[in-house]
Amino acid sequence: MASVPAPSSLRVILAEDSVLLREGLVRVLGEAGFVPVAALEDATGIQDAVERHAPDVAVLDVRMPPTFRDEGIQAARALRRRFPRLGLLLLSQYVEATYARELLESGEGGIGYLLKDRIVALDDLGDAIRRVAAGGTVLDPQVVSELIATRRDPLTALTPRERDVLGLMAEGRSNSAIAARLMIGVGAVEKNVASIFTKLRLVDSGSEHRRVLAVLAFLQR
Amino acid sequence: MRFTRLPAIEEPVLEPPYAGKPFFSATFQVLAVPHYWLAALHQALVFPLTALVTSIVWFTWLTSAVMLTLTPLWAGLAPFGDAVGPGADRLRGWNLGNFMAYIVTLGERADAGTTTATVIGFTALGLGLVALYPLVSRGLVWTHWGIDRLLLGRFRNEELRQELSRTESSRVAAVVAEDRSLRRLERDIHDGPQQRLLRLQLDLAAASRQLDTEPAAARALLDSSLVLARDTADELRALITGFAPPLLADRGLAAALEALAARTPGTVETEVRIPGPLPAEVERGAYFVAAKLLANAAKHAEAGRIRLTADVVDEPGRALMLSVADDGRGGAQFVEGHGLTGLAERVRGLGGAFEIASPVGGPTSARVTIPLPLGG
Repeated sequence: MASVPAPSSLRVILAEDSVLLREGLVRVLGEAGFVPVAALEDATGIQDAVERHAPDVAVLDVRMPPTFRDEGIQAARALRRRFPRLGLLLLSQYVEATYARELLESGEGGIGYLLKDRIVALDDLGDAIRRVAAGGTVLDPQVVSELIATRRDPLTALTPRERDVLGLMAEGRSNSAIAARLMIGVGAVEKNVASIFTKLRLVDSGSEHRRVLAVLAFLQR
Repeated sequence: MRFTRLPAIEEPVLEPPYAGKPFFSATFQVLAVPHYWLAALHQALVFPLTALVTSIVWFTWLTSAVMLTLTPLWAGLAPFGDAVGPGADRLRGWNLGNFMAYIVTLGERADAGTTTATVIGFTALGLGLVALYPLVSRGLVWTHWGIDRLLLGRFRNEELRQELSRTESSRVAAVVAEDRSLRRLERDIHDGPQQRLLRLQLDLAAASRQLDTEPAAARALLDSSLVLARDTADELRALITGFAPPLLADRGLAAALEALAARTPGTVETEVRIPGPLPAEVERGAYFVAAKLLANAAKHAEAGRIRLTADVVDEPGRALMLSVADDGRGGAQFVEGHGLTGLAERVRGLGGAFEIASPVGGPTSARVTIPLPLGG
């Protein structure tokens, strides 16, 4: 389903300092049916560029000039304040739970945080960009699995199926996406979700974004 | 000198002159050591002279002080008023007391009022000299100490050399630790990513050859190449993360320690108070030591609770204090090749100190102190 290019042709702006990767990303985005409106080599001019090109989604590298630390995260937070409806997708060689948390807490709009490796799978990249553009949340499975792996209590209260659902929930997937992924009915997913929230004593606020935050907060404590 | 409470004069560092040297150089090498010449000079000339000068000053000061203070006494003994005979007459009676009396009474020509004023003035002067006596005496001792230090003590460059040899040993530890980790990194890159990349080239070249003739085989090779490339990327990432944790580079030690604690299985309480960035090598060192200690606590000690604290203290010197304590079963030891030895080496390389108390049965508590440059 995800391999079909979106008819709306989402406009994407890109900030990535490596030429090799920047060119590759532009090509891949075009291939996936998106419109790359601009490709910047750092985040300094991103605000003006977004103003000028009015993209639906900004794809940002985390480490960029001048300091090669967390420029992308800072830029994402600044963009979130000024353009609340812009979808943000952060790509990085590493995923840090700390950054995931910060990005999710920066606001309610669509946000994604993925390992750069995921761009290889065109379907995954396209899916992530569309979800972020639609205001959804995308969290790299590695962040989630790391959080789950280092828990002292390995969530023994949950059934294996519930643990799978929890992981996919933390990645920001909707109930229907979880159902498709696990090849079960949406009703079954809803039952699992309700059971997880009861067992972990979490409050389901309904919003997908808040749901991810609640699950993440639980996994980090 | 020992009673002066002045700092002890450090003895010069003299190499044993005869040890393992041929006869002539053993004999004459002594001549080339400035300390011996200076000692001789001190003994023969400087010390007697200094002693003479200082003792004269000391004696003069002390006698003047006593004599002047006792002026009223001399004034009482003065035979003024009568016997104004020729000088020869009084010469018989001349002693120190009469001499002072003579001076006080201005050769017996002064009237009673002037004499009283003179007596009071002289007495005050005497008391002043008495009051200043401790200072003078201290000054004289300082003079001796200064001269002795100059001639008999260590030269400044020798003190520097001593300091240097202390720094040297910590530098050697740092070099050893760094060398070891670089070698390990090199081996890891060689055994892992490098081999995979070679194999990748091999497979891609084969796929390219088979593309027209055996498209199915080529596709299989391409698919496996993709997996290979992904594994290589994973491996490189793991290597780099192990070497330079991204959060440490991005956000500094405090953030990295908090994340480390969150990643460690079990309950880890943290108390991290680090104002601003520290020197990069200190942050890296402290991070790795903390990571290793936390891992040990979680893995070997079967600890239920771990406590990680990091603090920058100013006393006795500015330093980073890091401690990891757990309620596990203890028994951590320094064994060659065991992680703790490497940790201690790493800390020593930063000029710091590493202490660990880990009785069998627990609890274990480790403490690391790493000195920081002032104002840094």
